[in-house]
Amino acid sequence: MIRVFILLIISAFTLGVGLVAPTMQTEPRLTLYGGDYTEIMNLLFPEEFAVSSFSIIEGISHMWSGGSEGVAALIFGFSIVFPIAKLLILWMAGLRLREGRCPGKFLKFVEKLGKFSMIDVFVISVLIVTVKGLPGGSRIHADWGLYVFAVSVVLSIVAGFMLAHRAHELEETLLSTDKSV
Amino acid sequence: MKNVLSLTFPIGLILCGAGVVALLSAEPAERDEAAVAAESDGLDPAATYYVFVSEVETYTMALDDDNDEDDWDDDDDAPDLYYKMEFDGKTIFSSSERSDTFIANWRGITIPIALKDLKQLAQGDINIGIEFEKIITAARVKGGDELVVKILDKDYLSPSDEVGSIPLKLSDLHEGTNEIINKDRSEGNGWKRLEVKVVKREGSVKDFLLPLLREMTAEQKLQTK
Repeated sequence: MIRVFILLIISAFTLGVGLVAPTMQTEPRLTLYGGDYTEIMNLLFPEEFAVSSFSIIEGISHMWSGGSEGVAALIFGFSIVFPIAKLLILWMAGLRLREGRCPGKFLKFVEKLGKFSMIDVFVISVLIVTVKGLPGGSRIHADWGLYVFAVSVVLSIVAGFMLAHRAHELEETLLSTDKSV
Repeated sequence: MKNVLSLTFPIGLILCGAGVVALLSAEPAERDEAAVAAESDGLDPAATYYVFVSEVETYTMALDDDNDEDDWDDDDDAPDLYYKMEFDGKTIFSSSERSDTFIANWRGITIPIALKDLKQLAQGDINIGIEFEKIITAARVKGGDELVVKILDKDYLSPSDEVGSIPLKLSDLHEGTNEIINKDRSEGNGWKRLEVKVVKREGSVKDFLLPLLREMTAEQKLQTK
């Protein structure tokens, strides 16, 4: 069980890092009449042409203030609420298992949620691919925060599998005890 | 209740992870703010700066000896404005003239060059045959100097009329655009507003190249059409 808790601890920490760390990096460029004027524009407008990074939270905030409340709410749900809720449920399930009790509804809920695993990473990746080709040759890249966020999601999935396995073992043990009684 | 309380641990870890990133990324931002604050303080007395008047606005009527309103030119035209910059009684810069206008503008740079060559120019490539220093139409001064800006109305048959004489203590200015408003309209003091631009010589050339780039982009678009 200790391994599950270590995974959950790392997953929680990396989730916090992944939500605040830069997830997307925009690199403004300017190409006109077949020429690349990015360097000159960098010189003329250093603030506007600086490479800028956005975290998941900043991205949601920008979308919300930019009038895309629906998309912002969707990403907020899948990228913030869903992973945190999943982590807390796994934690509760782990605690119950450690006490020798069946996690019951907690684990069933997590197994159902498992279908949506990685959807948060998927949503952000789709967003990056969609806006990858910006006008004027500007580019957008995935930044290190996305990978940290993905690590958190993967670790929580692994912890979920381990908990489910452990729960089935416990259920079998309890059943065999009942039968012998 | 015990289990619910134990949930504070993973929540604390999430906040801890977010806090670590926020803490690490906050440091350079504070440094940037400090750098900006240092730049916006006055000019460095030892550094060299380009100074030029980017805009002058005059009153529509001049004042005569008796403070009565009078036309700028005898032929009812608006004044033909230009300015001089003097240091220690000597003229160190004279601008070109802007005819028949109450608002005159200068860019601080004059260069006949195609847009395609601008990139090379910005990179300091001298192969295009133009030295950047030669195309700047601005006074070169030290940050601690004191200048006098003389705004004049060009007269061809008689000496130019003085529209205003403004002492400029560079230590009171900052890099970028400095707006000066005239609160004392009188004879020989008929200017309303003055914009003085200050650019550090060692700094970016963007303040000079920006208006030029805009103009040339517009010209290129016209040519393409």
